[in-house]
Amino acid sequence: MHYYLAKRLGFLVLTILAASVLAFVLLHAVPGGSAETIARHTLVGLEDSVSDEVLTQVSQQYNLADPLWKQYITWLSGIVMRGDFGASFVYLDTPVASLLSLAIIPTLVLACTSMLIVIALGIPLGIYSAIHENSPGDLVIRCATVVSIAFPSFWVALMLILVFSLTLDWLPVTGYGTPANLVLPATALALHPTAVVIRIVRTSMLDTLGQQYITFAIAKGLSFKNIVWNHAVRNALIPVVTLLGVYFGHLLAGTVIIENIFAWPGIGKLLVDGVFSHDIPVVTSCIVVIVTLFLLVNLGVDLLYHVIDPRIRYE
Amino acid sequence: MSEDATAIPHIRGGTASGYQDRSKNRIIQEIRSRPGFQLCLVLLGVLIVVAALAPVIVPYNPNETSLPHKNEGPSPEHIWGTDYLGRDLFSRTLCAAQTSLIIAFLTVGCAFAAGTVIGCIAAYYGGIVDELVSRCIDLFLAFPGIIFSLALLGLIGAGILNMVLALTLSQWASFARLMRGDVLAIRNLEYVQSARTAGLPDRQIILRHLIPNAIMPVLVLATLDVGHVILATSGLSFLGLGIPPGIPEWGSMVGAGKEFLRTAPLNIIVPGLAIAVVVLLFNVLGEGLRDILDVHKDQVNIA
Amino acid sequence: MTLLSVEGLNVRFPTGDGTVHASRDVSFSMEPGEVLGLVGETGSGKSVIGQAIIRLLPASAKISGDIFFDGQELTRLPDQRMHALRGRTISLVPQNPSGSLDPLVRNGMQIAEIFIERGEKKQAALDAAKNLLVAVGLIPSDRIAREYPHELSGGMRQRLTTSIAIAEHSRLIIADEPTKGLDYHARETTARVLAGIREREQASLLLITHDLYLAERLCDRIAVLYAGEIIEIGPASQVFRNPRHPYTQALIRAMPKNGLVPLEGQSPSLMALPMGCSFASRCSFMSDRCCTDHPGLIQDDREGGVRCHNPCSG
Ligand code: SF4
Repeated sequence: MHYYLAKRLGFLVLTILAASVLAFVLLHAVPGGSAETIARHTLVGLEDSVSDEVLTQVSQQYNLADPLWKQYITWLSGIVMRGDFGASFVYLDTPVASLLSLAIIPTLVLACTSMLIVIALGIPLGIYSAIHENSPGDLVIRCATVVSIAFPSFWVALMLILVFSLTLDWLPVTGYGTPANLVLPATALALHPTAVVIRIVRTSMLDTLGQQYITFAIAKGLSFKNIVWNHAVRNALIPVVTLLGVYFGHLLAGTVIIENIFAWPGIGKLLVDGVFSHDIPVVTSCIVVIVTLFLLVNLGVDLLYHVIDPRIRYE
Repeated sequence: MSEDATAIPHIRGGTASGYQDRSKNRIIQEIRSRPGFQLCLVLLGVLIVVAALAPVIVPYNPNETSLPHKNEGPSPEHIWGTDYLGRDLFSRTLCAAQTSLIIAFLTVGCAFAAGTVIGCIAAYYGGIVDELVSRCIDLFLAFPGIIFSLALLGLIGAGILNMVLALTLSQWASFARLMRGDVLAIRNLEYVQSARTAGLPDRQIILRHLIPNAIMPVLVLATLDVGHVILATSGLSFLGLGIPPGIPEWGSMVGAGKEFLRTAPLNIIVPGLAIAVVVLLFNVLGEGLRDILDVHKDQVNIA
Repeated sequence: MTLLSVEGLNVRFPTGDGTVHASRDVSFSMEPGEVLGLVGETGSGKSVIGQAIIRLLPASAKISGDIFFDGQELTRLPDQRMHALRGRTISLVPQNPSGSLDPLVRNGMQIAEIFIERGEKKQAALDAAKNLLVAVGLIPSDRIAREYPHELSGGMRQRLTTSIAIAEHSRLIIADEPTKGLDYHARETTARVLAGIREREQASLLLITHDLYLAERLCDRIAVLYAGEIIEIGPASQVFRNPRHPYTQALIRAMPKNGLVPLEGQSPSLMALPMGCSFASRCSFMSDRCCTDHPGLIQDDREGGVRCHNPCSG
């Protein structure tokens, strides 16, 4: 158990490191990280010429004279030692770490709410669909999932705004802080993963219902209800649990677009704003944070998997 | 009914080499029995022809602005209305199909090619090569790749090819993983081994034996991935990334039109529906192909 | 009084490539307390008969004929009533115990859930379950009850499923290939457990097996199946000592103790059965008639019968 955990944690740290190298190197290698561009973007405005003095100052402030690997080491050791993600190119007074810490809670709130919707709708509908295979209800659910997977989430978000905010005036369009603000973004974000989870649960349930232990449970004389809930559902949900981790990752990726539509002050908005203002330290840090969140959730799910499935032993 | 332990290796072996044995007739028969799939094929054919000819057949220049006619509803002149600059929505939507399909096909093509070759090499050579490649695949699959595409695209700037590059980076790994698994499953089968002992060069074995036999699942993945990539493209361009101004694209049409959500919702509804229809068609195609080509299904016959 | 009487049972599975005739015109009956063996090779349709009786065939199966159990006709019984019989009156020792045990349920609970279903308290049900574990020799029952199926050996899983089948003192127990896939030692134990059941319970046992030793050891009567048909039926001693059908003779000659003389050829595909005798292609007694006339089951004086134009006089 301890050995397994250590191994997993080791792999997690390595993956985060590798992802951070990848992000850092790729993003710093593209044009946009030069002292001149930063100065133009932030200090003096795009049209003006930049004095040498400013250039030196910028260059020093961001260690731009160092070779790339040294910049990376400086940045990484800052994170590890002091939780310091470096300085933003744009928000001159706010370190990246504070930006991140402000943004992470809203993103988690949004992603977790969506996840709850996904679980609360996806699992029961998937089970229903499998138990009533080929019934009208099943057909409706299947069609709905196929169709809703085809719609882009940003479009669904805008349609929700059009209907529920602009036309019916039930819910606010943008803003953050009250549960009412959460409804539309969480729904729009949950749509795709819900549809996918319904399909996965359905397939897994049908597969489980065909297993011999279900046949034997019938032979034992157990009631249909008992068989479905105590045997089929439990077994069918095991593979689903692992996938929920993956879908949490998709949710995190989805927040990038949804947060921008609803002006939700999370990591996704920070990332996109950073991308548009060429704020490379912010972008790199956002990527690292999202990757870390995703990997942590997957680790958690894996451990959960080991708890719920007695066949798996830590090796 | 019975699941004989001894039957399992047989089924596995069948899975791997089965694709080659399957007669074309069988596949044609399967397609014949699926009217929905045929309809989907026809619609996709129409879509591709329309997209290819879009610039020629549309009634208006998709970029021709006409401010006096901005945000108009459907009329005999503009059957789907006009956008916030008075451009014809119908013409723009049709031309945007070309943009989306070019990006999607190029991306999937690149990811497919890269993934197939990389996965195949990893599985065929094994050892340290496989180890390195596998870790690399894990890394790329370890986080939501679209975020990476987004960051990269923002920094390298707009352009169709930049878009393709950024998306390929987020897509190749799933192809490589699937291919690697498939090849591993057939690598040790008899006919590959005998090709080896017969002294065929590696390149020939990979091209003649491994890729053709392991490719079917990867093809299905590619078809399903087209829908994915269209959605990802539209998402990025919705945010204003990747598509240079002047090229109509559904995502950027929605993105630009969202300011007029209340007054001119058609600006958004039309391109959004276009995305959904195309993605739906490719998904139905991919799932149909999966059912038609999937050997598991008919391997599970009663003994 | 007859407990079970199967009359003219036919089971067909329509598939994409044609119809599989899994069992054809199968008729036999069982008295209370009797042990009947259905023996034959894999694919001879013997398991299908057991599944047809307890009505666990896949929905695609087309069934005709009658199955009378205790005066009721099972194939047309409403689902509700059939359900009430399963586990309580007719129970099953399934083929492949490993796949038949829910991997997420502890061994004790696999049994106890039957009692809980009938309204027992959980603790009482678990205690009863432990008694059953002891009865089939799974000791220490406390520990085994707490473990999961994957922690048991194949033979132990077999005994666990057997204990489930006897949990409610059913009147008919259908044991489907109870020794399949087990090693010699586990086969012995299983045979002892089944023999024990035979003594203790007043149940009838329908033993479906390809294991002739097991059949010889346990059965009162034997029905031999070939290509979905009963080709010989009779008292066990008679069938083993004086087999009259050429196939039965071949089977018995193929037993290791009789010198392991293998039977050449293959049984016919259940999708394309020959017009005459199904065994004709492998039979050394074949005559012209065998290829054109399908032999009927000829009843003889002693509750037996043989499906052959040229039976050996026993
Ligand atoms: S009927 Fe003819 S072929 Fe069939 S078993 Fe008897 S002798 Fe042999």
